[in-house]
Amino acid sequence: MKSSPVLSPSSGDISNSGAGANPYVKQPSRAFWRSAVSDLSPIEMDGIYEPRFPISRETRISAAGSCFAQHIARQFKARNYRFTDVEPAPPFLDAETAEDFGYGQYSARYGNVYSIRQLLQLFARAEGAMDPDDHVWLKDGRAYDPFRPTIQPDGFASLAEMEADREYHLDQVQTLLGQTDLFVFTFGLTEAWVNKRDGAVLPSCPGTHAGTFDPETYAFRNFRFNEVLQDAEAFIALARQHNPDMRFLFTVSPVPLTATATDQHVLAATTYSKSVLRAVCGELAMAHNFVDYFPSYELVASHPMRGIYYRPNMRNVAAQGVARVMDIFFAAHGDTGTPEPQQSETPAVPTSDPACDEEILEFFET
Amino acid sequence: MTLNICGNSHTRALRAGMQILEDSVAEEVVVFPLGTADNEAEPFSTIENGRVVLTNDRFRTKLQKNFGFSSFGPADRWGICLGTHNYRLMRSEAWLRAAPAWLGIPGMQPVPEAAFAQMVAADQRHIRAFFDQLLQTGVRPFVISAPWPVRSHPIMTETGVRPEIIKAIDVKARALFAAWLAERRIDLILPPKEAADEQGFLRPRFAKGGDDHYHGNPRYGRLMLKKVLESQRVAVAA
Repeated sequence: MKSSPVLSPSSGDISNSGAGANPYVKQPSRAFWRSAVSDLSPIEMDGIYEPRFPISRETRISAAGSCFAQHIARQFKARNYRFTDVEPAPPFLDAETAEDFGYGQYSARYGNVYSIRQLLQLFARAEGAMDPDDHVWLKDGRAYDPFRPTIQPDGFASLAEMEADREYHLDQVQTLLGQTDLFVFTFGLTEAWVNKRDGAVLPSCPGTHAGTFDPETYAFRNFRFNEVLQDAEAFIALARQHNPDMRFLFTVSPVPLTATATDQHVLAATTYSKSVLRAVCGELAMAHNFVDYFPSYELVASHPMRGIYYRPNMRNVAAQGVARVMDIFFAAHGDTGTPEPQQSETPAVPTSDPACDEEILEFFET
Repeated sequence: MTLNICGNSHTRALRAGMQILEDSVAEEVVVFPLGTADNEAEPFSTIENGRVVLTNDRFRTKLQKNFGFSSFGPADRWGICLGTHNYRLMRSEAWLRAAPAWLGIPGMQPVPEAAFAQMVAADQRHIRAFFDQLLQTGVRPFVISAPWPVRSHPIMTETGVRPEIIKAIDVKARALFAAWLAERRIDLILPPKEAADEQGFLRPRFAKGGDDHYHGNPRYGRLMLKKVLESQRVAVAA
């Protein structure tokens, strides 16, 4: 799927000068900043993504990740790809209720998964290999799943309801990897809160959505490159135990941190986070020919894009930006059609902004 | 003042009951159905000139023909049989794989109570709008329940959904509706306990039977109407 190198227009003088051949002579125009970036407007740039392997409508696709990943999942479904959902909403729930209760966001009702460590632990819990200390968070008489604190509005009616729901959820998650040909994961954050006793990574800081923050119990972790890489390799190994031919598509969310728990400025903290995650993706793609990287981060957040795909808060990605990014992805895979309207027999794919657990942190700014 | 009772097709049994009780009732009571429950799934009412009018053609025609009213007004007494025909909620084969979470049935997808409540609210939205319109225009009706669910319904006998799931759906949906009405100080009259079997389904002797898996028979109608009239302090001779 990679294009053949052609003579770069910017190297013509050098090649004619007889100064000696060099590898840049045969590089395609997309390899040069002037021809690929500075001579073009952001919406003219192309060739940013060239798929490593094809994705067909027969490919069983599963997805997880940070809030930006919800866009990717929606598009696969809207374009009638074979998107795996092992925990779909019961058909008698209307689309709005289904969305409110966290159905249809990903391949199971796990909510946002911000780090690869969290993803690994999700499957460990599903296999029964991990039973975290954080069993339930109670708030105002309602029960919250610490690992899915926003999966439904105002929590569960009771501990029993939450336990039954989680048991069913994990039973379904356990079947997921065996039904997957392509796993799509959007890396979101390096910053996380973990339970000191068992190392369980929580999707949000205790005391934000629910739970109580206790510094004796919870610690801040800012995962480092080697840790993220190691976790990703572990996940790949685990997944390929279920399907030895499984492929992976990794992306990095272009959505900056709402807040950092480090002592850095949030911009510096965001850059660290995204740099680590981007470097991990690059490393994985270089190490494995069954791993592809889709540059959604570059398409939105890199400086040549001038931030045009962000909303005024320079954090949320505008709908037009999402559409542009996904059009580029699918066009690169030979799919230039538009997403089809939803079938009436199934709950409609929600079109609102993705639920982002992190956004609650804004309310704690003083 | 005449007591007017209208509603969906479950009103037919009440009318049959009224025909049995007619001579024993001291006051004038007029009972007629307006149409079937599938009319509840679309908007069917609005406020015009300070009165609630029915925008559903069938409902509106029946109201005029059988009651002589073109709209609902505060000077009239109304008992309305709407809002507890819960078969729309039950009638999905998805209940073969899902169950209300509060039943705690292992291996089935639990439907959280809050999601169920939203589902019920969505199902009843036009009915609730109608009652809010009535209150807004000064009409304070009371509400009459449909009969307990019928055990012979094909969702159980043919599709194979567990009866305890159907019953749990019905009980919760009625409770949610009752709570919604109670917030508005509207009384809901549930079916008589003696009309239910041990599992809470309509006793066969009160069911219409045959191909009808929804309605009560005249015997039920008499029993239910007596309960309704007693709640409204309408004297019924022994």
